[in-house]
Amino acid sequence: MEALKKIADSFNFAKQCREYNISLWQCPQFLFLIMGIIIIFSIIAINIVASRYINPSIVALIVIIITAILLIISYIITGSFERIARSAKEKSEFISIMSHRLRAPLSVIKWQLNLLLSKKLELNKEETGQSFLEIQGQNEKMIWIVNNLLDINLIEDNKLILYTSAFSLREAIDEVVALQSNSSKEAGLDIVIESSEEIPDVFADRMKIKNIIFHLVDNAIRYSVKKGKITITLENLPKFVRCLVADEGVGISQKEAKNIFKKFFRSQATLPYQTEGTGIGLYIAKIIIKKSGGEIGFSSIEGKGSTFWFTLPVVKKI
Amino acid sequence: MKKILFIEDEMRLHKNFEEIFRKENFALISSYDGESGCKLAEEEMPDLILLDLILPKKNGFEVLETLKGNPRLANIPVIVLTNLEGTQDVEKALSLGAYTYLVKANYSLENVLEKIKEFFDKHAG
Repeated sequence: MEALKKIADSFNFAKQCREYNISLWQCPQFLFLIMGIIIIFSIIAINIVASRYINPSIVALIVIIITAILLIISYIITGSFERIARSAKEKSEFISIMSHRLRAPLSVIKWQLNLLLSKKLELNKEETGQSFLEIQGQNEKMIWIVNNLLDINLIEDNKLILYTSAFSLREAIDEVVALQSNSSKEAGLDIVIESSEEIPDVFADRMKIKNIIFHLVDNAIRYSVKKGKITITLENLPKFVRCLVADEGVGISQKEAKNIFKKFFRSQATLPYQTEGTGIGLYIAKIIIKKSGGEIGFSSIEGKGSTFWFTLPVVKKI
Repeated sequence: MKKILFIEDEMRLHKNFEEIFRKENFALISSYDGESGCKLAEEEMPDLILLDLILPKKNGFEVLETLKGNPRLANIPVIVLTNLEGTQDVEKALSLGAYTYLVKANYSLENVLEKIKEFFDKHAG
């Protein structure tokens, strides 16, 4: 029975292909079977045709057509193998990138604990407090990374659920700015919020949108190399509200612009200034904003700064 | 007093070492990116350099190349202290002349300190 089940499983192509995220018509195992069937039938068909019609050019034409079909199928098979190989490579790169990102906060926590527990060093009250604060900050960072990872997983399995409600974007921004006030102050940056008109409530997942704003402001802070300001603007569009986050930082080159929302992409221009970053924040942001019915984009001048913006639908008036 | 140059972008780690080095009577010179690290090495002529690999402006490998390419600085021993652990990274750092390679997450502060003391004991005088 066991053996039979194994054989049956090996013919369950749909299941095998689902694992690699490819459709049945791109599945090598399935296509090989189809090819085999075509070859068997064509041999029989050619045999019958050849015995009835003596004209060799008809036989030759049929052989050419069948060969062409088989060639196309083999082409698809090679392509699928490449996709499987690429997906395996992406996965291993992903694990490597993520473990490094997790290791950085982990080592800081480890060394802070070393300090706190060290018998040789007696930390005073203020130093102990600072050490705990640092551990807390690093712990938050790890939670953020892991949450993003889970989101990516949900996105790729098409299972991301948005808990939508009506809320004030302005309030969400105020909350984010309060959270970021310390790091912006440290970097010598002023955060200015501009929204003169009456801004209607938007309809989206408040928590996730707040995270996106946090990420955009965080990027603006981290990629600003000199003192300056970050401007957050809210403006009304027909049926939408647009939020813009503008910095005076390193900017993004035109060559890299098309990759900015891709998973794991990190701009070369920013690498000399910022060694932290996972390259997943903007990828997740794009998917969440799109799913919420909005748009996300940016404009940038290399060396002058970038403006990232997104729109969200406003609550319909009843 | 031995002078140790620490090239590392994580601000907090400098504070950790500052506290632990003070007790051991080592002088800590702090640098937060690769470029200023190379400059400080030249100005201060430290007895030992602790070097991270992922650094702004000039990465750790480039710092090693610069140091080893300068006859005045080539003899300053460099201990790589990083979170990168790929075999290629380790081999590259060692082939560029690093004295040893420590992975941050695998060593406690005391372990790192022991390694430094061990180095100074071995190369006393």
